Amino acid sequence: MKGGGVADSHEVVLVTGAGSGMGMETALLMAAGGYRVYGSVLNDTEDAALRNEAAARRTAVETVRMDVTDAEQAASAVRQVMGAEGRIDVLIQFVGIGLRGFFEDLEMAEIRRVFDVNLFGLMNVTQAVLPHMRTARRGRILLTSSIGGRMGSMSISGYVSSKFAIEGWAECLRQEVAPFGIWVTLLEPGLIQTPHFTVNRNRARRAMDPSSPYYSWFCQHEKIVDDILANNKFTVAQIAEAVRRIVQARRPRLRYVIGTKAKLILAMHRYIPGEWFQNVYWSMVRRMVTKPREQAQMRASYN
Amino acid sequence: MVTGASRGLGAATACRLAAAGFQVWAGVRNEEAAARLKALAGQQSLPLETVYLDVTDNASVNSALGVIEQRTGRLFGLVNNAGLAERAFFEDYPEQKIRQLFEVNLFGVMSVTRRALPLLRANGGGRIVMISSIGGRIGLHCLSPYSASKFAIEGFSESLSIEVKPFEIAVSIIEPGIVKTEIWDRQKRVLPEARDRSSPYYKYLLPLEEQVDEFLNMSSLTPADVAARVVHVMQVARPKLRYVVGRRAGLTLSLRKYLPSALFERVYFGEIVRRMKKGQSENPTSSALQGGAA
Repeated sequence: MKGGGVADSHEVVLVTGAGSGMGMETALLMAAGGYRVYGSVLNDTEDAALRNEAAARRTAVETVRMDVTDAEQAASAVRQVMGAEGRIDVLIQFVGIGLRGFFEDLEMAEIRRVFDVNLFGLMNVTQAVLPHMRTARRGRILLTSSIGGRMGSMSISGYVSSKFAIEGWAECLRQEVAPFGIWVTLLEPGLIQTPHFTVNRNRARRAMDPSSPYYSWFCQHEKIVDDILANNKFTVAQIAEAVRRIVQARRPRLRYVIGTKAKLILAMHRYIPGEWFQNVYWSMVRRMVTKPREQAQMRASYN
Repeated sequence: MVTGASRGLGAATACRLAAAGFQVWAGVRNEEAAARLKALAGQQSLPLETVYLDVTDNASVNSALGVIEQRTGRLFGLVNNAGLAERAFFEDYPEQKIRQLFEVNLFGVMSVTRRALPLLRANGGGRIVMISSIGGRIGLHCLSPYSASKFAIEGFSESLSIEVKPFEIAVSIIEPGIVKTEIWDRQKRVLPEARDRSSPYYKYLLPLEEQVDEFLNMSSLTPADVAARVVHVMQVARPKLRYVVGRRAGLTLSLRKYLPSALFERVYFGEIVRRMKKGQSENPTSSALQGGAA
């Protein structure tokens, strides 16, 4: 990763999902580094949280209000930044929601909602920003995917498919806008404790229904995830620092995996031949969530 | 059960499965398609039932799977084949068209799968086959919503396979290279928005169209090749998660896997960007395209 220089103090950065977690941390770090930062927030609570944190750290972050699922709101927020600054050099999209539950327990409405935010929302903001970057013939678009955008996982199929979708879209977009001097980059952080897990875990309604055939596995899996998170030393500050360096890279790559564990797991997923990793790793997890006795009972009850 | 069996891959797959001895339900969207498919199957005297299925309509999904539930009470295999592809640069792509594409290629697949799962469990196990594409592993220019939807299918399938394995249900993804079906042929499915001369991307369209033509001409892959692979997945004891169909697609995906990412991207994606830039200088006015607009 090249770069690490001092920011051009006129560079304008728009960070979506800046009301909490990784988005907030990155917005504050970029502001501290001399960028003109606009952070998108969803409501008054997020707005106040971002402003208070900026004041506490003695940095300046402007807030813009937008619900990314509404293309008109996205366009008007971008107009607001353009009106004030006349340019947007960097767009960093952190906005996203999760959804936990085994696939058969997910309602289509719950899955659609994830896509409205995680994919179509990102698309809305990107479409609003692109004309300005094209005119300027320069720009950087950073899209937050996840390790879940590279490999499947248990009890988050809706979330995973939305993150895979971002990856596919970003690969195409990178080619399409390259002739205009615009760089598209994917951020792939590993598992990390953010409000995404602590405050707004977003479990599917039926996942918590004891009559679901997956109920006991889901509960067991949630405990495992909690254990992993509790022992996780990875912080949002580390992610924000990585993002700052990526923004300043001379020729940013298509993908950046952020986090040592994530790098290791993705390397295994990629290089271990055949489908060994998929089979071995997940049968291990499955053994942990399905006690053999229960599993036999489950199968018997449906045969 | 084969979705999107009206034509192309779906029709070929439904017939192949019937020929291999499976009791096949072919999901079609209208009477005309049903009659055409029945005639096609009739020529080879294959037993095959058609059922009305619009994957984007929840009621239709319910009633189609309901018919199977009533008649047999169970299901061994589901082939999610319904899908569409329309081409335009992302910035030109209307939001509604992107959502429409996702309704068919992803949400439709999910809703059929969700409704079929209890029947597969009732069968004591079975197979779910997803027809993805090389576009589900590599982003294709002018096809960003399509690639996004196929990538989404890959992530969904990988996750689903983990969850349903205890029920002896195997999920497999079939990734064909470019197959000569109507999805590519009919006007090459370029959206009118991409043929608009005022689009800043318009000048890049022609050189990329030429490349698509080259790929199509080089491709020797037929729907029958894909159908044969689906039959294989249905018959084999332990199906794999992924099957790439077509030598060129296999080679490209191996390169992507084993070459350093940055090198692959510079060679593969770089070539497309070079073409765009080159075409721009060579074809300042690409009038040939206008004639092709539907």
